[in-house]
Amino acid sequence: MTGLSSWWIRLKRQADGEGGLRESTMFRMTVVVGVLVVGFGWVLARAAVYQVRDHEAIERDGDRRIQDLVTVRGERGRILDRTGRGSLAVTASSTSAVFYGAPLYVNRGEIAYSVAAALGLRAEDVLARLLTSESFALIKKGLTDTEVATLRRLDLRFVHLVPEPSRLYAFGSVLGPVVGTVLDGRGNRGLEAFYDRDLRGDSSEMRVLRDARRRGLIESGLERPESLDGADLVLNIHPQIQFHLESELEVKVEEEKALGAMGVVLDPATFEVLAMASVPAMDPNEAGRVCGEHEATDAGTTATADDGTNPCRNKVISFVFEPGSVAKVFALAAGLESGRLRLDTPVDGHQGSCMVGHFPVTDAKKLGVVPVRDAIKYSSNCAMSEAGRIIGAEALRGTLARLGFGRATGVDLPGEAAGVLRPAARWRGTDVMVAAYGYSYSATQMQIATALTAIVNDGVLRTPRVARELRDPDGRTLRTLGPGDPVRVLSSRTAAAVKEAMTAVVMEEGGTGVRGRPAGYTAAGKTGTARLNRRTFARPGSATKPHIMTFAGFAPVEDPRLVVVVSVVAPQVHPYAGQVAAPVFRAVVERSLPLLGVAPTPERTTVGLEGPGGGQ
Amino acid sequence: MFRRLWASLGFDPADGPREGEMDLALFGAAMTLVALGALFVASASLRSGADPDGPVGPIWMHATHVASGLLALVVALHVPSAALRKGYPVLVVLTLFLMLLVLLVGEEKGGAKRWLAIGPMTLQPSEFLKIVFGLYIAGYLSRRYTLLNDLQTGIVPLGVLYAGFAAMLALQPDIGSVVLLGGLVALMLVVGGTRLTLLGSIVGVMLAAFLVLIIFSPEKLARLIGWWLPEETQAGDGYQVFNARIVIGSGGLFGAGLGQGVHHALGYLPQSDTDFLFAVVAEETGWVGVFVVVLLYAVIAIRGLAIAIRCRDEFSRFAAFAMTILLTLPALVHMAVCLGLLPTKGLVLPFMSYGGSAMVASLATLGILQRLHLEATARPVGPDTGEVA
Repeated sequence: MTGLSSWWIRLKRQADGEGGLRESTMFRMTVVVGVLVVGFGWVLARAAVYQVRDHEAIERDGDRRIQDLVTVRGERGRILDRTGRGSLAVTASSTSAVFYGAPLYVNRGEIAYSVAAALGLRAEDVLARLLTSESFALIKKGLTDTEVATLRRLDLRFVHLVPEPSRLYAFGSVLGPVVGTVLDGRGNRGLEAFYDRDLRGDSSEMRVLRDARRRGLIESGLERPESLDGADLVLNIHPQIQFHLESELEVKVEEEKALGAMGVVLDPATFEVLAMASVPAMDPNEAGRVCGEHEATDAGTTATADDGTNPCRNKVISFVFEPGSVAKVFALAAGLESGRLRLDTPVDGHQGSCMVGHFPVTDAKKLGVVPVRDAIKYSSNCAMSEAGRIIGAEALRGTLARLGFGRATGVDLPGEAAGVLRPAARWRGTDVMVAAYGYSYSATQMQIATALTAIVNDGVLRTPRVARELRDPDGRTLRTLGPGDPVRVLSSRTAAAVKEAMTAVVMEEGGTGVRGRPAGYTAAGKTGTARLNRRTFARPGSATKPHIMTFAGFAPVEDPRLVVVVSVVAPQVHPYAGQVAAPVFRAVVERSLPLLGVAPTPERTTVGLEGPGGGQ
Repeated sequence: MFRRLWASLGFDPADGPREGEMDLALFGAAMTLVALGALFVASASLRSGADPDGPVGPIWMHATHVASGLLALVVALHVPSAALRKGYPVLVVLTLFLMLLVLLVGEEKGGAKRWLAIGPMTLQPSEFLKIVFGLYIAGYLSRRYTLLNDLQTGIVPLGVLYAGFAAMLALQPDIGSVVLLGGLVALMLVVGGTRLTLLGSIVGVMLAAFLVLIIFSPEKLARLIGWWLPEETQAGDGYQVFNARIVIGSGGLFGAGLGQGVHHALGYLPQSDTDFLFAVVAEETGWVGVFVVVLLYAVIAIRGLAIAIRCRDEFSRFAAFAMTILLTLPALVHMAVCLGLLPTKGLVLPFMSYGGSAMVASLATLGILQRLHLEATARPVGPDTGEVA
């Protein structure tokens, strides 16, 4: 205090001698500077509050704001056809311009004007969007590269570019239910679901610092995001065969006023699925809308109650039905394999009318005692029921089980149904007789096709595969998806004999499958007209009882290249599979074999089509 | 050289006071601030890039500003106070002209029209207006000392000139300068001897008018609310206040280290190289750095006061005091704004912030102050060799 007052006195004395410094001026100046110094002290005190007392809390808040974990996701792989060139599903990363984070006073008009100019929109429209919400507005989706570049250059505050990966299905409904769909980055149907883990690729979290515009600065070293990309899935699907199969089925559904249809084409040597079709089929690009409706109506019903019209289901693997006459060839195989039947073993056709247990059975073709071979050729239920009795439940069920009935084929698709094949102990009475012509057990078309392919493949069964391999984005093979280990389920001799019987169905006059005979090629097959549940499939005003009409066959006979199974659900125009499904088989074979390099030989005989050519 | 120049203009150095000595404490404090400022501007500009389109990076621009400022300091050192006393009306007219020019053909940046383009450079006349206005008040007070308690003859004429300049500043708009000049007028009237009751009522009326203006200007009102409730308005008007708190607070006691401040570098604090530079200082050097900077400004304030008291004539005394206010009051307001103690103003930190005109003006102000010190401490000419010096 004394120091201060002596300083003051000294200052006064110093000033007194000179240009009239008033004491009041000196005093006031000192007070003013004193107030300034007090202000500086106030600043120091306040800074101490922030930097010392509240330092930790503030730093925590601040760090929470700038530090962030970002999930980096690789781009979803493509789905390619067997050529590796046709892209069935691709991921396009589109970019959207989004407005957010602007305080209320920010002039939206200015932003709207700049953005509109850059994106070629009307400024009024953009402004209207910005004004609909205080905080967030989508300005434009699916920006072009130029537009993105323009916006980047403008670098408008509050206008953000948001990447949005979207899955595009280039071929629409072609193979739609097989390819499947993606929901929120995860495959939820079809191949997209089955191979989701491979397609989706990896995601990884990285620590970033967020700047004021919420742009991330990578804080720590990480693996390159490119290595996170999902693999490309190459299918066995042959694009043209697929196209022919689908269009033939579509035409047939229309002609026959059917509820639906499905078909599958396999390569008998490799069990590769060359084509797989469900009609009607959804377009995965619109699955959200289409499937939403169907799932809503399906909600109360069970999966098996599908009447064949749901475009989102892959009927080849999920539609379960009693196969009917088509399965007579499997009974024949069981009989041959057990040694209880030969192709020439006589069985009685009872002139097309017999009783199986308490049920009367009638055949379209009235046969007497004929070799089993002819029972197949003319598809006689009465004759086959007798053959069934000869084979016996144990042998028949055993062969069916070995051929894959009663369990899923293991094809690389999700949601495959297994059908029902009861244990032998629970077969009673007439079950074996009924089973011999394709009832009392149920299956999917995939099971029928796989079993038939095993027969065509000289009795060796493998797991069918829709997909061939996984490739990295540069086209290098990551993993080959083979057909699984071969399992011999029938002797080569049995297989050859069954093939011979099937050849007669198509190639010999009077066979039920003559309409399936392709021009210029040999073929073998079996028709099947099977009853469907009346309540599920009956349509009001329809006189016909609901049937599923199947043709399962292969071609050419000498060196089979294709196994084709087609089914039409509840056709209303023709009563027999020989009329409905066989022509589809024929068309598919005729169009597909040339694609595989198998040239047709000139027509040797004119195909006679006398008689109804029906087959139960 | 300058001496001869001034002599040729009629100011004979022989009858002017001789050179004494520089105030080394004042000079050292200011130069230390300039040096520190360059470091923090560099750190702040690394990210914010004050002039990304310019041909030269902001750091080199800043160096150019400092060099120009030092040149201005040397020039000011050679201008006798007598020349200032006689010449300030010319300067007032010249500044008035430049201010009008700004309003007519000024360059606009960030919504404000404050700059004149001269070739590749830009000039911000309002920075020089502050010096000229300070000199004007000094002249006014020394001439009308006895009238300062009279509203009509003492205060209204000063008020009219202030109102004119303030109106032009408000049109730019540059509210920070309006407030700063108002503060300068008020403080100079205090030291000029105006009765505090009279001054208080004038200031009261002005504050009331200011409040009315604010209330009718939604933008300003929003900014005031943002200052009052930064947490609630952090996404909008409280943005800078809220973020300045985080930037300053995360500095802690010793700071993050030079160039290590993350929060301002990530762009959360706009104008971190100008209006919010103090927050960068606080983040990178902590409370210790804040203490040093505040201490340096306090040294300037106290040395300035000492110079004013030593001055031998009224004009020099008031001029010295005005220059002191112009160097320290903006610093105090700047720091208070950064700390959320005052509403956002837009005042740079003298000697430290980025900005050419402000840097040149600050160093010129320092030069004037040093010149007044030289004159005050010069050995008196003639026989009267008192005990002064």
